[in-house]
Amino acid sequence: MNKITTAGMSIALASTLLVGTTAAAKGEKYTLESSKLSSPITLEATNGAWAKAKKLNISLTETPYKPKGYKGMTQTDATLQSLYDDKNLYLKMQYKDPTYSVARYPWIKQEDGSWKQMKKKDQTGHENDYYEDKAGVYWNIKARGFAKKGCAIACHITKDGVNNGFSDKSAGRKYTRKAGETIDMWHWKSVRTGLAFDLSHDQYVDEVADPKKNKNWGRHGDEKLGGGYKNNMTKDKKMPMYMSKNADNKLTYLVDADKVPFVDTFKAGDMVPAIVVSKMSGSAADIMTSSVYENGQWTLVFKRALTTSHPKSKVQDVQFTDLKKPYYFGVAAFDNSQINHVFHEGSIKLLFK
Amino acid sequence: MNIQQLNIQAKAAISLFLLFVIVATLSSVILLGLSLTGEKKGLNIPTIPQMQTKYTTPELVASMKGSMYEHVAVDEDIDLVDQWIKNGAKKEDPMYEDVFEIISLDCADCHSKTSTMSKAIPSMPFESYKEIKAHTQSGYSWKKMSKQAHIHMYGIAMFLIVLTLIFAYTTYKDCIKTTLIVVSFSAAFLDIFSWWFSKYFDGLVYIIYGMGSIMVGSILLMSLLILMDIWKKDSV
Repeated sequence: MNKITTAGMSIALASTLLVGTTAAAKGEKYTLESSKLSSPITLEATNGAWAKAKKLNISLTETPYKPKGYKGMTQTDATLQSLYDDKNLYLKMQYKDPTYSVARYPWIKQEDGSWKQMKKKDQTGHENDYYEDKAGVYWNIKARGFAKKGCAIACHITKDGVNNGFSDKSAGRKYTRKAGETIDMWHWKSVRTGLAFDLSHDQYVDEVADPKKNKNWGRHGDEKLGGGYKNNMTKDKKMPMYMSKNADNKLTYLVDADKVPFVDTFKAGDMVPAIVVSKMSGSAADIMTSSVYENGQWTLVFKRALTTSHPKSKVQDVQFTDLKKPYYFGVAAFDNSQINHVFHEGSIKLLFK
Repeated sequence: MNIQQLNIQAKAAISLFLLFVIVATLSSVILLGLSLTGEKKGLNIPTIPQMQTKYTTPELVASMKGSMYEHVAVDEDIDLVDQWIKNGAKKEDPMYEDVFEIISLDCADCHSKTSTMSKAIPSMPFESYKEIKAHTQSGYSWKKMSKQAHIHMYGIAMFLIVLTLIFAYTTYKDCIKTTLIVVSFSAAFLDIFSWWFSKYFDGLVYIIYGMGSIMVGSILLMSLLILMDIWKKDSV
């Protein structure tokens, strides 16, 4: 090899090393474009309109804690798409979940004729075996740092059994950092809101960091005018209070309109739902959400009005009033878990196109 | 005697060794880029300001601007921490209350002895003034520097002596061989030497950048040249 060739290789290598110096600028990590529709669409995920919506693939790789004996997923891949019309925003979220989990604390009749509500709480007192699949979409309303950190801005991990000065067994709590800061929370709960009513529970997070003020700390439900869910159990908590009027009911939830007083004609191993659900109304029911589980994947379609007009909408609901500006959000998936979830670092920027 | 005279087994062993060296060298560049730029994947060549941050600013601030950047809510918080350190990093400083809150909220969820997060780093807690203060020195501390220097110098010297000895027995002209051998060792020495003293004179960051690039370039170049030389068709 001659000198020129050797020198040429040296220059090429040096150039390779130096060219990169201008390419290291930090960019925003995730951007989702919402495409305009000419008219409203249904909640069906198979609607042809979704073909025009750009996809954003995002890995949910983080978890807030490690429950003992946890069998759920510790990471997954999600695909997001968005559409909007003159009045509504649509968000399609698909994510892999190997298990279809909708048996939330079911009552199971025992061999001796008694009833046992299935539970297996982890070290933090939360359920990961007999719960339900859930998903969350967090929208920044007004929280300093959300655009950069996403949901993590309101996540406060319990350290040495203490959270914000209070003794606490939970892995962590949600609350914002300052008074006046709020985050909108679209909480799809497969058993309690999703499968029966095509709804998510519209919630929000504020700065309350005191369990004496609110047992859920900063997490609150939006105003509810009716409906909701309650436990299906007798006062002594030893057996179900109601059962379905449909003898062949196999659902893991009991729709309020279908419930009748519990009459025990069941055999050992039979299941009775432990939750009675009725369709919510009011601000808590702002978000329609279809859900389909197929081939190891959940497909959810959220639909919410671009703007809401409840008395407290300004602090509890993200308002898509200016379609020229970005809106920041984050997503999480709960695999049969009460509080453990997989999430992504940072936020996702939604742009209306 | 030259490497073309080696038997096929020796040539294969040297070639595989060189492939390891090339991959290891590229991996080190990728790792350095990821840690300095805060990116999560790919080859990211750090900028001079990012290098200056690592070698001349307090470790805590360097991390908040670098690999931990995405965990800090807003840039103003980094400035506040930086200013507190410039003021002497004292617990009595009125700014400390804000600094402690920022670190508690943005860092301590993972940096705590009992953290349960998926990226928990319990070995490096930030839960007390003492633990925070320990990371406020500018640039590398003498302890960290001596640790880093001896590990790197022993490691680099070990594979560099093997690489350069093999290169010395190639069929290239002596001036090329001498230049690349001297340059590779010299660049490594100057690179590591500059780690020590860049906190006193930040212009040395340019030396780190230049010598690091030359060291990597010379290692890769020698490896490729050996591979080309050892498998020459007209070799004996």
